[in-house]
Amino acid sequence: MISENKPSIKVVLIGAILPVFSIVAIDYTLNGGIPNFGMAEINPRIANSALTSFILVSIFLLGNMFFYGESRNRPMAPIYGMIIAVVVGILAAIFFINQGPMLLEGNGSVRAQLVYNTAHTIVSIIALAFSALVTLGILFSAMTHSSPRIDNTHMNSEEE
Amino acid sequence: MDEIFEAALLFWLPFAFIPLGFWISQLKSSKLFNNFGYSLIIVGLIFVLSSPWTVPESPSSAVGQLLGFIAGPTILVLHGLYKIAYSGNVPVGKLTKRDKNLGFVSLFVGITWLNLMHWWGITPSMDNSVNRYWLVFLPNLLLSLTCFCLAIGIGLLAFGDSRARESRYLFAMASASFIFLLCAMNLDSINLTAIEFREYVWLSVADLLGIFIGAVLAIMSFASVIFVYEKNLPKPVSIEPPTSDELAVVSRVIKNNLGDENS
Repeated sequence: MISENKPSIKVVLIGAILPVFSIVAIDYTLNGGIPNFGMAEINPRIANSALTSFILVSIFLLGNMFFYGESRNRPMAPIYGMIIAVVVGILAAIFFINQGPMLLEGNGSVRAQLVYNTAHTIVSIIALAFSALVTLGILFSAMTHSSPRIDNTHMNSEEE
Repeated sequence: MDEIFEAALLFWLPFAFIPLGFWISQLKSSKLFNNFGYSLIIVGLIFVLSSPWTVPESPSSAVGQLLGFIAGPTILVLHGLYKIAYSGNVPVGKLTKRDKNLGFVSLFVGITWLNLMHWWGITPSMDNSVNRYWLVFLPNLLLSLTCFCLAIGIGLLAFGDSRARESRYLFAMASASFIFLLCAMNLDSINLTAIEFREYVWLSVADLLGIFIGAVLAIMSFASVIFVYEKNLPKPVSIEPPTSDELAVVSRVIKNNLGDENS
């Protein structure tokens, strides 16, 4: 029996992460390490970014949970969602804090770091949203400028 | 007034108006709510964009300055893509060839403007140093643009029906932004050295990884609640099979709609 080779979604995912690994690999090969810069600077960024995006996405999803609870007649759904989000958030924060002296990235106080994290994540999300819009714009432009796949003469004769 | 209170009142509160206004504007029930939502967005944007003047001491005003700087090229790029897309084969609302040319000009000017903001002397700067959020925005934009374009291009090739020609545009954009990144990591610009930019690219990789981890954790937390609820829902009550009369009606409707033109 001949098995058909169907494309997998994994191919697309590899395409999405390939540039990240490539840029790091090429840069490290060409230029080596960066002076006075290493995991001590990278780890806090990952931790802060993960915690801030967790909070922002949780707030967004919590809003949706109210709609879910209303539509499925589950009024307690947002409360349970909130409790689980808080527990996961605390566990994640404990995990990241236990990795070493981190979370304050050159900011003088926790409050300054909090504001910086929020602004930083908002700017990152704006960059991601803009790049997603540009990608969709190019895709849509390429599609509308390709030769039509539907036989218009048949459609026109049907309309007549 | 206290500096923190000023920043909260003149920057963060108006900033919160933007998503709130967008949310209210989407409520379909009332035209009044729609107008109120759009007004909130406009007021929020005005306050955020004027933050470098209203709260110059606050570090948060750097976000307002960045948004002001990128507004021009961003609008030009998106406007250009819109004009190009809707001047192609669209069933309704097709734009003219003049609009298409205007779209190409707009896209070109927007991309060139963004490029010059890194390479030339128009980089967003505050207090004689480059705006720290510009150094977050640009690497994130270039890296995510490369990832999205490559992923969608590969997706078109893998799942699309003879879409190789269309995927070329996406691969071209992915290559262009990747080459921009490589050049910026190896060549100094007027305001920024290559080493500094390399640091921010590495931090951008960490940033994207963190955002991915945080978003997945949040989605899993809330999805687990929905999963448990949906799993405990009672089985839907089975209904009786259709009667012969009902089947006859269905057959008639199908025949009327799918019948051969010659019959």
